[in-house]
Amino acid sequence: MKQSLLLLLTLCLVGPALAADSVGKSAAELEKEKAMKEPFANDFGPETLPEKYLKTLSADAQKGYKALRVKCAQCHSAARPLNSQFVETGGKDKAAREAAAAKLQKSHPELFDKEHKNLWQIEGAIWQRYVKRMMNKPGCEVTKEDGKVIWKFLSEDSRERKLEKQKEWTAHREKLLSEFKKNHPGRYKELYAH
Amino acid sequence: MHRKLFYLFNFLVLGLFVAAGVVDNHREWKGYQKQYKRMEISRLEGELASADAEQKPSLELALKTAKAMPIRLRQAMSPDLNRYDRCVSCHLGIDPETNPAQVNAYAEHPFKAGDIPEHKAHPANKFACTSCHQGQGLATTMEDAHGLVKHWEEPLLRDPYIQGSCVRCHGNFEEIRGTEQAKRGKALFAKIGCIGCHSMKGSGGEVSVDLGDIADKPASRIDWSNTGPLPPHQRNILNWIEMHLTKDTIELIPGDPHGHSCAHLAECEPVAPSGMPPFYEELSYEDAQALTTYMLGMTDKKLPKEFKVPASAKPEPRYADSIEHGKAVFTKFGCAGCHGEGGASGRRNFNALGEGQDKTRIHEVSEMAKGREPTLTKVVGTYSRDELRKKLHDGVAPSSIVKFNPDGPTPPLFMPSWKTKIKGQEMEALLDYLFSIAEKSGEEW
Repeated sequence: MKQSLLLLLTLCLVGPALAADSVGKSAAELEKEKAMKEPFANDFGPETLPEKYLKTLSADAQKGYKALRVKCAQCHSAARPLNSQFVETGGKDKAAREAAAAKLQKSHPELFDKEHKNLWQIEGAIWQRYVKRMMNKPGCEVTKEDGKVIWKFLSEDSRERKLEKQKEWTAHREKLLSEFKKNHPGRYKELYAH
Repeated sequence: MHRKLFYLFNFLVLGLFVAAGVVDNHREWKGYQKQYKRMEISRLEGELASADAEQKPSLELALKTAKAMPIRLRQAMSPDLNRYDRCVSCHLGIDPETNPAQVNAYAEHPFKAGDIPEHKAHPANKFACTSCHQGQGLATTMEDAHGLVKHWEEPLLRDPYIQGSCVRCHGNFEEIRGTEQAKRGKALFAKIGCIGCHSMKGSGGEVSVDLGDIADKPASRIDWSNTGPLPPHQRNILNWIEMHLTKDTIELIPGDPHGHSCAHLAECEPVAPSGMPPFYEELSYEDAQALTTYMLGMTDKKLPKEFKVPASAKPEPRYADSIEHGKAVFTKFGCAGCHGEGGASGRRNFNALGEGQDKTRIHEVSEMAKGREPTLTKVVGTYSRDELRKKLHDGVAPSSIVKFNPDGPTPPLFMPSWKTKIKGQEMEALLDYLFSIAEKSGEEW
């Protein structure tokens, strides 16, 4: 009797798990699997940002951060965009942002130096492009509204956490890259050894 | 007793001789020759009755010749092309010996012979018949001669497919009359981007088979088990090519997407069905015929050089701007094969991730078949020029494409590296064109 009950209990617990496994993984989960197999240095940085810092951002950017933590993290780690070398300059529209990037290039040519490409990749619309590209991936659940606030967050974050604190950001990226080189030499060569 | 048996066998042998004579006298081609002879005699007698004195001698001679016309096998021979064709044993109207003008007013097949310039340009004593028309030249019955028999892989080519024979020899076939369908086929071949996946004698994509000698592919190298009720005599390359354009290739070449053949093997992967997109959805039957016609000209068979007509030299194309040049590059390298015309619609890529796939049905072929290649108009605008150039340079390896069903086959289509093929000005022009087709929204987001 006891054995039968134990068997029944086991079946109740294991059965749904097996059934769930037979149902396929979602497109996002498959993308995430691929992302984990092909990591970037960014993936090994922090997955969250301090609350204190987030409070300094605009309401839209804060919404974007929350959406990023949920929606973007379905396909890759949240750390991937948060620790990215991508930096978008500010401005009221794309033309203004691109003009700001051009101005920055004149004032800070070292940030645009090819040698520093793994630390800084500055453009007027880099996050706008990337968020849209990700949204076009099959199975991406980022809606147009989500995309807009995620972009606003990444754009604002580019200026507040990266451009405003250049030394800290450079040190952070250098540390990530050096650890990545040590732990994933093959992938480092593929991605960063230009 | 022995004497009786002797008589019996003699009668049997005599009977066989008589039967053989009767059968031989009723051969298909003999009937046609006798009919042609009667028609000629009747025609000439009619003309003679109303002829004036000046015409009479020549008509009398022609009548005498017609009456003396022997009933025998006739051949058109081309030793250079190794063709010995008995087609003219039935088609007397175009036999240069029987009817030197090769033109008559008879409406009855197989005698009618119109004024066909192609026949004049290709005299039977130089080209014979099957070098253009195909069929089984040595045969002496209609069914055999037309190649409508099992194991004969070059059946008589009817219109429009016979235009494929022009493509075989005439490098300049687009400039000669009567090749409209072959020309249309060539244009479609470029338009739908066949060259993106298939190479042609070294140039083109590396995703699928070389089509440079597709017309020579023997039927024995084709798996006919999924072609439906196709009679054995129709198992030839013409039908195989055409079926790729008129049927769903997943049904034609289903592969082994569930890996059934792997059950007893240690290392074995499921096999995707044919990667060829479902062109039957966008091509009309006439389009499919035109493409088949053009491809029937793709052969590697050696011809004496005097039978080959080289392509005419064409002037270097001029483009209004870089975008127009880029569009030509897009066509030249067959980008439409995977990304659709103008990059506007990614084509099927079996078991790749696509829109609207039901994850609860990952093992179903219909769901795996919803995998798609990227639609360029949607994605190219999200790349910078450098990023897009790098993408074209590096390509996307099959292993980098995320599968819808992780246990299913690797998606058959992938982006090859174009680094060595699209370079310099062509690459820059292609980038200009790609950015010009990118979807643009007026808004900031």
